[in-house]
Amino acid sequence: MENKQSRPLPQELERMSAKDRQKHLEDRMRGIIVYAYEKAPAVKERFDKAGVKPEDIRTIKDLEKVPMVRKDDLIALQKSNPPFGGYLAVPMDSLERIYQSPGPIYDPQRKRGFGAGGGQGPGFGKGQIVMNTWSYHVTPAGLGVDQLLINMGFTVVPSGTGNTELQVQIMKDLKVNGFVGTPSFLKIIIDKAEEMGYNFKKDFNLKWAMVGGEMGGESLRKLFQEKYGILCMGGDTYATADVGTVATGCEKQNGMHITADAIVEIVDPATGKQLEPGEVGEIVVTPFDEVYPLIRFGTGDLSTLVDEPCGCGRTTPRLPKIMGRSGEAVRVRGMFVHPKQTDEAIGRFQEIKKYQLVVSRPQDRDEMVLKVELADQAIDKEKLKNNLDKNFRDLCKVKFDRMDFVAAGSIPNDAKKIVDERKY
Amino acid sequence: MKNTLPSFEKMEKMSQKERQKLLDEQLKWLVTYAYEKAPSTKARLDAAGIVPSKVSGIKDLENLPLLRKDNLVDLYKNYPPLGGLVTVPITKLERVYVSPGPIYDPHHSSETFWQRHVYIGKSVGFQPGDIVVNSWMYNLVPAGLMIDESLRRNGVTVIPMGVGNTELQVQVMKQLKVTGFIGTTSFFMNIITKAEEMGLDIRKDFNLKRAIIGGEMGGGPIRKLVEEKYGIATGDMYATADVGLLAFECSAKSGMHIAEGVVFEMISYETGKQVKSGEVGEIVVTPIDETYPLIRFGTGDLATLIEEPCSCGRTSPRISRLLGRVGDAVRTRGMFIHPRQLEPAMAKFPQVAQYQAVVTRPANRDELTLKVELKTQDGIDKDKLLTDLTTVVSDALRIKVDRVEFVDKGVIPEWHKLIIDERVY
Repeated sequence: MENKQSRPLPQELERMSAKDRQKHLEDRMRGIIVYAYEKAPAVKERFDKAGVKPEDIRTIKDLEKVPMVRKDDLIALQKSNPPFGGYLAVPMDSLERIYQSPGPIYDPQRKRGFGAGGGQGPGFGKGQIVMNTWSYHVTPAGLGVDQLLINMGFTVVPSGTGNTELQVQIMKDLKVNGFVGTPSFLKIIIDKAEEMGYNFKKDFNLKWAMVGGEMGGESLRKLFQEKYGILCMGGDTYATADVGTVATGCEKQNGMHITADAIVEIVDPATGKQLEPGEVGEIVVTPFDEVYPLIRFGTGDLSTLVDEPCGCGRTTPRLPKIMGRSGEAVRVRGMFVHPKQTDEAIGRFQEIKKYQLVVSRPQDRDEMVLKVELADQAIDKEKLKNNLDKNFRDLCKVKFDRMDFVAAGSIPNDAKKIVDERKY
Repeated sequence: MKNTLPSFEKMEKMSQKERQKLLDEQLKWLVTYAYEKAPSTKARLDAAGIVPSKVSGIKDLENLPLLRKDNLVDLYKNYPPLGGLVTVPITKLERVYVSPGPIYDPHHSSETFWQRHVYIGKSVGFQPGDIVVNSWMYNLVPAGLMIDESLRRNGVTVIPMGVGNTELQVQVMKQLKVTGFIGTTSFFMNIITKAEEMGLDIRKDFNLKRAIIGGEMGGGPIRKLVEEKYGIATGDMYATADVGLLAFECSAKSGMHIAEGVVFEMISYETGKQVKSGEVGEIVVTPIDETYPLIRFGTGDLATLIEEPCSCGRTSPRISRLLGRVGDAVRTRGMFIHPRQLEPAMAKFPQVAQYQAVVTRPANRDELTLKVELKTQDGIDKDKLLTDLTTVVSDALRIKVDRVEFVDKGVIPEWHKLIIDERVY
C-alpha cells in the first residue's frame, strides 16, 4: 500500500502545481485501484467484464477504460447481493455505522468521514458554535456533517430539523455563530424569530451559514447576506451520500474547489470519455476510500471544470455550480442540450403547441430533428423556421438539422422533450 | 491532575470498603476542581458552608442539598450558557445537547465518563461483531449520540435509526441481519408487531439476539414475551440526560448494578438520609467526571436499594426497577415532562379555565391525555382548539399528546397537580 507518512497535507495538496498534484493523485489512484480490485468483488467483476486489468490504469486518462457505476447500478447490485452489492472492501462488522438512503441504498461509514472538506485543519472552527440542522437519523447527512465540523474544531449543536421555536431559543441562548442546513429552514427560523419580536441582526450572533441541498437557494442566500449580514460560506458544498464531499466553496465564493481526496472527472455521460475544462459533462468520482471504493462513480450531476487560478490561493480546479441532471440532457455534437434550454428557446413561439427533439446518428454524425405540432396551421412556416433556428442556435449553441411539422396529437402529452435514438 | 480510575473489571470485584475508599479520593479531587472551575457549584458549596479542602469523602457532603432537575433549569437561566456547572468553556466542547428546560448538556470528554459508558455497553452484552439498531433520538438530546459512541467504542456497528419509520426499521433489521436493538420497550414492540403484519417470522427472518429496552417502567411481562416467544435476550439500562448511563442489568437479571465510577447514594426523601438495603429512596449520584461534575445530583427517580451480593460476582450495589418520580415531573415514554413546560404552552389558550395532563398505561404503553376545562362553551370551535392544543402542547413537551378531553367544570379539582401519573404496572 501507499506510504502514508510521505503523503502531503490537504492544505499543501490544494496549493501544489497542477503537475505535482497530478503525480500525487495518480499515485494514490493506482493504489486504490489495485486495492479495490483485490478487496471488492464488484470492482473485480466490472474490470474483468470490460477486459481491463488494474495495472492498465496508470494515469487519470486511463480511467476512461473503466466503465462507470451509477446509482441505479448500485441499487440493483445491492438488491441482488445485499447489503453492499460487492463494493464493501472490509468486513461489514468492522464498520462504525451503516446508513440508509432513499433507493433504498445502504451507505457504510467511511474512515475518511464525509471527505476532507476544504482542507481546513482543526483550528478552522475554533471558538465557534454551529447548529447542524441536518437530521442525524437513518441517512448519512447529519452525522457526516457533524463529524466534519468536529474535525474542524467547531462546537456542534446537533439540533436536527423541526422545533422551530426551540431552534430560535438555542440560537439566542448559545450565541450560535454558524448554521448548517437547507436555506429554507434557515428562513423559517429567521421568520419565527422576527415573529417572536426579535431583531434578528441585533439580537442574534449568526455570522455565517453553510446552506445547500435544495434547488433555487440563490435568492435566499442573497437575502441572508444582504438583509441579515449572514455570510453564506462558499456558496455550496457538493457532496453525495455515496462518495461524500466532492467539492467545497472557499472564501472567494468563486465556485467549489474539488477535493484532493478523490479523482474527479467530467465526462460525456454516454461514452464515459473525459471532457476538456469548460465543457459541460457528468461528474464522475473515484474516492480514495478503502472502505467502499466506488471506482468511477457517475453522480448523474452535470458541471464543468474551471481551471483558472482562484484568488484564495488554492490551485485545485473548481466546479462553478451543479448544472442539472445528466439523465435529462443529451449531448449533441459535443454540446449538451437540456430540456430547460429547449423550453426557453421554443417556448416563446406561441404558434407551437408541442415539440419534441429527436437525436439520431445516421452515418456517424449526430442528427437533430425538431418535431412540432402547430397551434395554428395558417402561418408562415418558413418564417417560423428561420426565427426558431436562430433562437435555438443562440440558446443551445447547436443547430438542428431539420424541422418536421407533424399532425396534431402525434406527440403524446407525456412524451420526453428530447429523445436520444442514437446507436453506436 | 485529573480523575483516573483503575480498570472497571477490577473495580467491580472490590469490596464495598475498597471501592468507597477509591471513590472518596477521586471525589475529593473532583469537588476541589469543580469549586474552582464551576461558579454555580462554588456558590452552592459556599451556601452550604462546605470547604472543599475539608472534604475527605462523600459523608462530608451530607449537608449539601441535592442538585435537582428543577435546580438545573434555574441554573441554566442564571448562569448562561452552561449553568455555571461545566468546567470548560463552551467552545471547547465537541457538542452541546439540548434537553427540556432548556438544559444545555455538554458532550463529555473526560476519560472516566467514557470508561463508564464503554463498561456499561459491554456489561449488557454488546461486543465486536454486533450490528445494532439504535433507536434513541440523536437530534437535540444526548441519548442517541451518547449511546452511539458507547457502542462504537465497544466495536459495535451502529445503525443510527432514531424513532419512527417502523416499516423501514423492519426492512433494515432484516436486510442487514441486525443482531441487536436498543431503545424503548414500546417502540421495540411496534417494530415486532409491524414485522409480523408484514408476514415475517421473527425467529426465522431476523437475526436479533439481544434487545436492550428501557426508559419505561414495568417492562417485565413484555420482556418475558420477547425472550420466550421470539428467543431474543433482553436487558435494561438506566440513564439520565444529565449524567449519562448509570446502571445496567447483568445476566442474573435481579435489579440493575450501579456502574463503577459513580459515587452513589440512595436518599430517603422523607429523612434526607441514606436508606438501608430493601428500602425505597431517591437515586443520587456524583459521577466521577471532570467535564460536568454534578455533585450530589438527585435524579428524582425512586427505587429500592439492593445490597445483597449478586450471583454474577459483581460487588456493586443494585437498584430495583424504578418505582416512580420524586416531585411532579413524570417520565413518559422515556422523556421527562415538567409542569414548567406545560404552563407556558397552556398560557397561549386564554379560553381554558383549568387543565391537567394525565399519564396512564393501558396495553403496556404510556398514554398522555390532556384534560381541559373551558371558561365557556360559547363560540368555541372545538375541533380547531383540539388540533391547536395537541400541536402546541406536543411541541412544548416534546412528546405527542395522545388525546385531548374537554371536561365539565369540577372534574379537575381546584387544587391539583398539573401532571399526574396514574400508571399501574
